[in-house]
This record gives sequence, C-alpha cells and structure tokens, in this order.
Amino acid sequence: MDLGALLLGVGRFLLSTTLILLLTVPTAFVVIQMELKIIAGSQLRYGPNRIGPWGMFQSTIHGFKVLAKEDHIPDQADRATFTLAPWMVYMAAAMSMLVIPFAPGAIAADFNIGIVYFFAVLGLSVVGLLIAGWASYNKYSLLGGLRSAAQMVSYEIPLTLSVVGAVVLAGTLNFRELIEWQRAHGWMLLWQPVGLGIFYIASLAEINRTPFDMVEADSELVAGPFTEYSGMRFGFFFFAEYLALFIMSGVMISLFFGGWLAPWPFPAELGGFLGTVYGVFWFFIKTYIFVAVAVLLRATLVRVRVDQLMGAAWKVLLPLAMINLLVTAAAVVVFNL
Amino acid sequence: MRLLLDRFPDLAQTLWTDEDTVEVRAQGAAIPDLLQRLRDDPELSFWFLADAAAVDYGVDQHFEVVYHLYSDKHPAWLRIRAHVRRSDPHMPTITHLWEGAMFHEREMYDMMGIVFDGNRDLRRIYMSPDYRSFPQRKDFLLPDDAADSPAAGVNPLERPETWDLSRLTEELAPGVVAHVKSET
Amino acid sequence: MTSDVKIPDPLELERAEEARLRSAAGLAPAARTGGEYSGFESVGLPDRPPETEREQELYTLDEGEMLVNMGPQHPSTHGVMRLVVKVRGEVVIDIDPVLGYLHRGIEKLCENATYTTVMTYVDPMDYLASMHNEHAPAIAFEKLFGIKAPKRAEYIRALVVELNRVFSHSLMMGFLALDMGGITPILYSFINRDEVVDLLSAISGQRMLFNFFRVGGVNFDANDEFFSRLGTWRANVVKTIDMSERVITDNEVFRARTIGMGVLSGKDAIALGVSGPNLRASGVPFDVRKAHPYSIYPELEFEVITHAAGDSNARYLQRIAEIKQSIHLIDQIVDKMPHGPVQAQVPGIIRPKPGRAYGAVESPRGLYSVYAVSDGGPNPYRFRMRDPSFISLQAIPKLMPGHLIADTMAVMASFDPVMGGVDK
Repeated sequence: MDLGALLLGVGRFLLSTTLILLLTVPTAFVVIQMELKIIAGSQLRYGPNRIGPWGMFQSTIHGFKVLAKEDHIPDQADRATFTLAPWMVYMAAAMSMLVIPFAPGAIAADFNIGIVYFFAVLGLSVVGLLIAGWASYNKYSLLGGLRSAAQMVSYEIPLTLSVVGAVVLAGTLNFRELIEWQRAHGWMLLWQPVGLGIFYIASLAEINRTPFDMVEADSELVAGPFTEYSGMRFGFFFFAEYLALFIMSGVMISLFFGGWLAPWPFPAELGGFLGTVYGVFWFFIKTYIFVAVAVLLRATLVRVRVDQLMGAAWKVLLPLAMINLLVTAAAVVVFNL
Repeated sequence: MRLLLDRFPDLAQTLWTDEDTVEVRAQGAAIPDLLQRLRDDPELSFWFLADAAAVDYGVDQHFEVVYHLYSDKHPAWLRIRAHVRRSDPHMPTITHLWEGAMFHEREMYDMMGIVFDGNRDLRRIYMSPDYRSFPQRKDFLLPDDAADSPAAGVNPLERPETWDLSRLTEELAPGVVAHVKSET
Repeated sequence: MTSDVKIPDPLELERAEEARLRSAAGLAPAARTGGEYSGFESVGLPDRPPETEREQELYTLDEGEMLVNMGPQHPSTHGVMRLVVKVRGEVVIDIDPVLGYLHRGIEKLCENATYTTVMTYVDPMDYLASMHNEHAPAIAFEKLFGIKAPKRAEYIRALVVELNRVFSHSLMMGFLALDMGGITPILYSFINRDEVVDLLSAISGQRMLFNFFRVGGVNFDANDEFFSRLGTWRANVVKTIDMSERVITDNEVFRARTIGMGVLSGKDAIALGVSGPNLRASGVPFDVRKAHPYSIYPELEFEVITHAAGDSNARYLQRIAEIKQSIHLIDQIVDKMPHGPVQAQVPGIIRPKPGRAYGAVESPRGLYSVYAVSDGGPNPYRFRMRDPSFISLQAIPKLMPGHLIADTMAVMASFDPVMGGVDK
C-alpha cells in the first residue's frame, strides 16, 4: 500500500472525526435553543431573551451551568457502569453522525454500507439507557430503563424496514449514492411516501420525543432512567437526546428529501468548494425545518400511553413497513427500475 | 310535604318547615331504614344525598347527625336530624344505600368521634392515623393532644424548662438565663 | 468530583433533637408510625394491624402485587394528595387516597369568627372557585338572619359566579392536557383565567381569594368602567376558548387517551354522590341552579346539558359546553341588570335568630353546600361545608382498577378535584 495515501487517509479520517465531535456541541446547543424559543412562541410567551441578542446564548449558558453542578453518585451504584452509560449514549449519537452526508465532499466517512452502519450504531444508545437504569441502584430507574429499551427496540424494526424500500429503489446502501440517485430520479418522498411516514413516526419514537416520551418526561411515577444522574452526566444524556433529534432529521432528509440537493434542479448541486457550501446550506435548512416540526409536535401533542405506543409499533407500523417493502420490491422487478 | 306525614306519621311531631327546607328528627337507629324508604319510594324518590354532617351541641349535650336529601319531585331540601348520645356515640351506617357516604362518615368519625356501625372503612381521613382526639368537638383541647402526636409537637420556644441554658451566653442573650432560672 | 463528605440526614437530626427535648421535659418518647414519606417510594405495609375491613383488603398483597406511593408531591398535581396504589405490573388493582395534607381546620376556625369574617375563611377552600365558596354561606346566613339581598346585588353575585365558573372550567381543560403531557394548553387556560381575574379584581379588589360577598349583598358595586371592560372581554372570550379547544379537542392522541377512560355510569355516580359536570357527563341532568333554584336563576334562561358517555372525554366536553352556557348567562345578566343598592340595610352588629340553615350552590365541581347552625351569638355555632371534590374523589378507587398507572392522573384530572376543598 502506498504509505502516503495511507497517511493521508488516516489524517483525513482523524480530521473529520475531530470535526464531527466538535460539531456535536454547537449543533445540540442550537437545537436546544430552537426548542426553547419555539415552544415559548407556541405558548405565547417570550422564551429566553436576556442572554445574548434574542436570547441566543441561553443554551450555551445551560451547558456551562450543567458543568458547574455537583456530581453525585449514589452510594450503592455501580461506579464503572454508572460512568459508562452517558458516554455510551453520547458516543452512539456522535458515531452515527460520522456517516451523515452534509455535502458532496463533506461526509466524514463515506462507507458503502453507510445506512446499515447508521442504524446499527444508533442502537447502541439503547444499551446506554439500559445500563443507566441498572447502574443507578434504584428500582424505578431500572423500570424506566427497561421501558425505554422496550420502546426503542420495538420501534427500530419499523424504522429500518421503512428505509429498505428506499434502498431497494436506489440500489445502494451508501448515503452519497442514494442522494445521487435522488438527483437523477427526483426526491425519494415521491417514490416512497409510506416509507417516509413510517420512518418519521418511528424516528420520533426512537429518540423518545413527544408524543412518545412516556419514559422520560415526568412520567407519572418516576423520572425514568436518568433519575440519579446529576451535573454533566445528566448533561450528556440531555445533549445526546437533542443531538439524536438533529441526526434523525438529517438522515430523514438525506433519505427522503434529497439531502444536500437544492429543491430546484438548476443547479441541484455544484462542484468544488462552492458546491460544498451550497450543499451544506441546503442540508442544514432542511434539517432544521424538520427539527422545528418535531419541536412543534412536542409543544402541541399529549403523550401516548405506553401500551398504545407498543401496540402502534407492532400492530400498525411493522405490517405497513413490510407491505411497503413487498410492493416496492415487486415494482422494482416488474418495472425493471 | 304532606306526603311525608302520610308515610311517616310518627315523625309528624318533629316536622318543621322553612321557606325551602323540610326538617324532621329521628332516632339514630331508625335512620337507614328511613332513608331507604325515602329513596326507594316512587313518589318521594329522594335519590340524592346532598350532605351528611355532624353537630356537637355542647359538652353535656348530645351529638346530631344531619342528612340533607334532594328529590326532583319536591322542591325543598329534606333535612333529617338524628340524635346521637354523646357518651359512646354510635350510628348505623348508610354506605349500603349511598357509597358516597363513606367519606362523609369517615370525616364525621375523624372530627367528632361518632362510630358508624357497619362501615367497612372507618378510619381517620384528615388527621394522621394515630391521632387520639376528635378535633371538632367542643371540648377539644389542642396542646395536650398535639404534644403526643409525632406530627406536631412540643414547641421548644414555649417550654423554657427544656432549653439548654449552657448554650445561652450573656453576650448572645443578656438577661435571659437569669429570667428563665427565675421563672422555672 | 463526587463529594465524599457525609452530610447528616436532617430528619434524623430533627428526631434526635425532639427526643432530647421530650426527655428533658419528662415526656415519654413519641410513638412512631411507619415513615410518612412523600415521593416515589414503594410503600411497605403499615406497621400496625389494619383497623378496618377495607384497609385489610387494600394492604393484603397477592402474588406479584406491590404498593406504590404517588406521593403528596406529584409532578402533575392538583394539590397535595397521596394515592397508595396497589399495582400488578402496570395495572392498577386498587387505590387508597390518603387525604389531610392540606387540612386547615376551617370549619372549626369559623366557629370563632364573626359572620362577616367567615367569608375570608371560606375563600381558600376551593381556591379556584372562591366566589362559589362565598355564595353558599351567604345564602345560608341570609336565611339565618332573615335578610334578603337587593336585586342588583343578586345580579352581581350571579355575574361574578358565572365568571368564576368560566375560568375554573378553562383551567380544567389546561390541567387535563398538562397531566397527559401537553405543555401548551395550560398556558392558554391561564390567559383565559388572567383576563377574567382582571375583571374580578376590578370589582372585588382581589385577584384570587375575593372576599366579595357579604351577608345581605356584595361588598362593592360594579360601575360603568367595569361593564365596558366586561364587554371587551366578552367580545374576545369565544375566540380564546376556541384557541385552547382547537389544540386539544380533536387531537387524536388526546382522544385515544380520554375516550373510554374512567367510565362512570349514571347510577354509580349518584350512589357515589358525584355532582356537577362529572354527574352531568354521565347522563344525569342534575344542576342545582335548575333543581333548587337560588339567587336570580329562576329569571335566567339556560339549559342543562348532559353527555351520555361518562368517560374522561365526556367530562371534558361537558365543561366546554358549560363554559358556553355561562357566557350565555353572563349576557343575560348584563342585559337585565337593575339599578339599586348592592347591600341590604343591615344594622351594625346584629345577631341571627337561633336556628339552622342550609344553602347550596352549583360550583364548577358540583354541589357545594353550607349547613350553618346558629345559637344566637355573633359566631356561627357550627359551620359545615360540603365540598364536591371531596365526594368525587371516592369515584377514583371505583374507576381505576383495571387501568394503567399512567391513566390514574389523567382520569383524576378529568374529575378536576381541588385539594383545598377536599381537605378543607
């Protein structure tokens, strides 16, 4: 192997992963700020408006505040796993961010199995929640962690199945090539509307957002698996949740809404550095639109009950996703797409 | 209200009417039967139990349990007053007629000490379960009872004999030590 | 940065201090019951034998059951109430409400208060319906005194009482959504409440505990400025109620969580003594304003609405319908308001004749009544209030078994109890 190319590849990889890790911080801050302001707007109040112009730096200050809190571990908690849990949840989110296609040249890791990698890594956050609940030595945290794991695991199946239809159409598991396919054939949402619907609902359930946040948002009995966490440990969980919201929105638009492509075909994408900027711009606009929609859903909807939630996953979404897959596969064969 | 007199002639001597209330008195033991007939009789049909209250008429007098009933066939409230003796107060329960009377009876037991025979759940409802006296009686004295309840207790500031005088130096509390020593 | 300092437990410190004081004072050590802890603890069985049959039934645990405390501090709360829930997994088997955390002894306090001061004591009972809390004793005391309030006073009373009903029902809508996770409607409800409370503070001087009614009338008159503000409010109120309704009523998730939940049949409701919108939502057309009219309600025209379903959704829709009825009533009251004095000519200190009086009103939670016994002195001899939330709470242990824990809060919110009234 060419040592130079190897070193270049390694260097590029290190640079991109560092950038991704650094990018997670302001991304989560922006998403949290959006949540504060949009919910405030729908509740007819101002929201944060003192720190920075229009309260822009509120969530940054939240981050600093969380750093300054006392870090307390319950006496009988298992220290190693207690410490490990927030890392796992956060790293799952950060690692899954590696394959998100921001722009034509700006994917941190352009895997050929990018889509599979993404869903696989995202599932690691379930493990993180489970060990958070178990390590707290609090039976209600354990129950909360188990419920959360059950919810996330049962929604992973419709989530991944809904994407398989798109993958079959595009013929590739690579994010970049899927977006190229969309440039040639039009956005995937025109081809896979049912898949989009299932993906959207399942993604909200997967990241524990209202209306599916039974587990975490003052559940009537307990505070969920994060009860015993304080300070920066809790900050990691909180961070990872909003990061996951951004990531899910980003993946959704990449799969169904054209990724970095502009909404009009002239030009859908440019080359070179300007193309990267153009692509990043459109990517972020579309992602933040969907983040805003998710935040608005949180502001308006009430929570779905646990058994209704599970019932929806297994009895409605899963059969729909399978039928969608069958129809898509049949159409591909029949119409030789 | 003539209907009442027809059905229950033995109550006639205690009947009293006001502009919108008809009041009768009855003996405690006869209450469930009376209320049942009032409720089930198709012409009287007092189906709604509006209130069940207890009144303490004084230390050497009696208790009274007062029921208010409503019927849509008659415009006035019906008030039934039952005489309960003060020593060892017992009343039969009406929870078999109206389940909602359970909390009423629990409150009457808690506040006045009237025991309802046949009530399946005669516990205290407002006060803590180990409270020993009955607050709404006219002879209720607060300090003796509260002192023995774990919830409220001895107010140390009111009991100078319990103060730890060694902690009160002359700079902190000039003259207090001498005053307390002279008082106790 | 884990702190290694052992912080002494404040409860232990307090107990040690009390033990020391008691032994210094020569008292025996206090007897302790099982810890009355609040919060999310699983409750052990009480360390004394069960006193009653029902307690036995409740606290006997079968295979797989456990007792869980929904403690006095709730995340979503109607006041301080403790529910000991016996659950098997997620399914509720039985509930025991433990009350008394807000008990202030108002009935006994009123025995030492003059008939005018009683009005300030009853306000904080059902603090969301303060005007109704005062209306009932006003009726009872006027019977004792033999005074009739002048016409204008009665009209003003009915006006403020209906205004109070509007904002109380509006708050229930917000709390019902909040208990299920919807964070926006509660703020809209508070906007509604704020507008009405501004009006009521203009007429009574207080925003929440109004102290407005007097024996023989009301305290202050309503002037033209008040009526113009009322007109402005009236012009906007239907829109603001619609704004909150739109977020909740047709919301599919909300419907899935309230339709079929906590179904209370009419017969059960009567047996339990439930009254007010909860009873009417179960199909029984009992409204004190029509059943036993008081004040000027005989002159006003309104209808008693019922819903047949008896579930949480019906109770919610019932309250929306009642808001609209109240607005209709307010319109009629303003139309017909006569001129005149607002307080009867009551000589300075008068004493009522000895006797008994019963006054009942329709509060937003049900039948709210006062039974007053007077012995001729300046204070009421016995002042008994019957609060509707107290009685409606008995429906919870009857309805909840078989549902999930998560529904307990939602169904309770649909009954709209206010702990101030429950605990007096």
